[in-house]
Amino acid sequence: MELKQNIFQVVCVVSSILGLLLIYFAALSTKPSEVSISEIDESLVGKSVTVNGFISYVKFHPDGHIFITVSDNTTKIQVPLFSSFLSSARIDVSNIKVGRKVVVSGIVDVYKNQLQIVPNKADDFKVLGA
Amino acid sequence: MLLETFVFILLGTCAGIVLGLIPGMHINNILPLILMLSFVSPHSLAVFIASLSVSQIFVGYISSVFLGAPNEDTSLSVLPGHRLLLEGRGYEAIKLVVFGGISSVLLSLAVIAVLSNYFVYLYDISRPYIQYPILLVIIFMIFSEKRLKKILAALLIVLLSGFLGLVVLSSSLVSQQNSMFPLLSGFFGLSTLAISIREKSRIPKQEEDDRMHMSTFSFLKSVLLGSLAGILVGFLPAIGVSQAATMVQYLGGMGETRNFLVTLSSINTANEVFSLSSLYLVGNPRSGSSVAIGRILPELELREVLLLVGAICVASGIASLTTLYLGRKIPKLLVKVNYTYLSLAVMAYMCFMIFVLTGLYGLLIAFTSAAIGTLCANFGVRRSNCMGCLLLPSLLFFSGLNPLVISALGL
Repeated sequence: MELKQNIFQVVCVVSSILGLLLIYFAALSTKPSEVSISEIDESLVGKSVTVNGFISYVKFHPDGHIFITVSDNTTKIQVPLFSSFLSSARIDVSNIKVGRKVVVSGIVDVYKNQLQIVPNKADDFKVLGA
Repeated sequence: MLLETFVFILLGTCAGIVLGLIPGMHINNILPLILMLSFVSPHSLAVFIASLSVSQIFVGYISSVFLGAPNEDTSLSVLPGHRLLLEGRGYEAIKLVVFGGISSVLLSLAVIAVLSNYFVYLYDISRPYIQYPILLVIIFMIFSEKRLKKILAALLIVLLSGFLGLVVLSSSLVSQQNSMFPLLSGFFGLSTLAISIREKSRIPKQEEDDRMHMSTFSFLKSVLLGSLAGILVGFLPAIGVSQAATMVQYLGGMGETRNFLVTLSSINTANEVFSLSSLYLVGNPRSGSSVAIGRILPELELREVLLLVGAICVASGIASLTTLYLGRKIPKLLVKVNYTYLSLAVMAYMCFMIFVLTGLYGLLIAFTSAAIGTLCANFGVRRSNCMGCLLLPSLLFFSGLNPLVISALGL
C-alpha cells in the first residue's frame, strides 16, 4: 500500500512537470490571437492579442514615451510605447506618424478606465507604411 | 407584450435548467447560437438570456456536487459539496447553495440600487490596492498548512499552478473564452473523480435530516460577504468568481465547508446580477451574457433594466425550486449505482467536452492541472492551493509586473 502511494505520488509529480513543460513550449510557439479592435473588452484584460490598424493619434512625451491611438474603421485603442521599450526594440521613431498602418501585439491592460495594448518585445510593434 | 415576456422568461429558465444539468456547459458556449435567433424581438431575447444565465448557475451545482463535474462558475463547490455528499448530507449542500444564491439575488439588487452612483469611484479607490489582499491571501493559503513540510508542499502547488495559470491565460493555446474550463475542471473536477476512483468511494445512504447545520448569523454573514465580493468581481478586471471566493475564504474566515458553499453561491449570483445591471449603471458589459444583451439592446433604458431584474427574480425562484427538487431525488439514485463506474463515465465525458471546446491543448492543460490537483491529496494539503493558477496572474497584473514577467518568459 505504501509503495503504491509512493508510485502514485511520483507519477503525479512527473505528469505535472512534464505537462507544464509541454504547455510552456507549446505556448512559446503560438502567436498571440489576432483580434479586431472592436473585439477587445474587459474579458481580454491580462491576455496577449494582436491587432491591425492605422495610427490615428500620436503624442510624444518629454520623458521619451510615445502614446499612440490605433484605429480600424470603427473603433480605436490606446497603445503606450514606453521609452524603455522603444530603445530595447530599436523602433525608428520617425516612422511613427498619423496614418501609418501598424500591427501591434501585447497585453491588454486598463489605465484610467481605458483599455490599452502594451507591447513588450521587439516584434510586438511593426509599422507597415502609409 | 407581457405574455410574450413571461413566455420567454419561462423558456430561458427551462433552457438554463437543461444547460445547468449538462456537466461542464456554460452559457458562454451557446451565446453565439442564441444571438442567431434574429426572428425573436430584442426585448424577449434579452429576457431569455437573463433568465437562462441566472437559472443555469443554480442548477449547475447539481452536477458539481453530485458528480464532481463542474463548469467554470461552480468548480470550487466540488470539494465542499462532495465532502457533504460523502457524509450523507448531499441535499444539505444543495440547500445551502440554493438559499445562499436566492438570498444573494435579493441582497445584491438592494446593494446595487443603493450604491449605483458610486461604482465608478469604488473602482478608482480600490484599483491601486487590490494586489495587497491578493498577496495576503496567497500567504495565508500557504501558511495555514501549519507544519513546515506541508507549507513547502503548498508553496510548490501554488507555484506550479500559478505558472500553469500564467502560461494558459497569457497565451493563445486555447480560446480565451474557454481558457478557464480545462484549468479549473482539471484542478477541482477531474482530480476529485480520480481520487474517488482510486479510493473506490461509495455514496452512503443519505440522511433523512435535511436541516442546514449553520447558524442564522453565519448564513447571513456568508451571504453578505459573498454578495459584496460578487459585486466587487463585477467591476474589477482580472478578478473572477473563483479568486473572490478564495479571498473571502481566507480573509473573511469563510473556510468552513457550509460557510464556503453559501459564500461561493452568493458570489456567483451577485456577480451575474451585477454583470447584467452594469450595462445600465456603467455602460460596460462584464460577462458573456451582458455582452450579448448589450448587443441586442444597445441603448438600455431604466424600464428595460427593470424588465431584466424581474426576469432574474422569476428565473431564480423557479430554478431554486427545481434545484431543490433534483437535489432531493438524485442522491437516492446515486446510492444505487456503482460510483466508480459513474465517476469513470463522468471523467470520460468531461475529457470529451474539454476536447470539443478547447482541443488537444485543452486536454493537455486539464491533465496537467488534474495531476497537480491530485498531488495536493498526496501531500495532504488543501486543494484550494491550486487557486494559485488565478491568484498569481492577478497579483502580477495588479502589481504591474505582468508585462515584465510575460516578456521574461517569452510569451
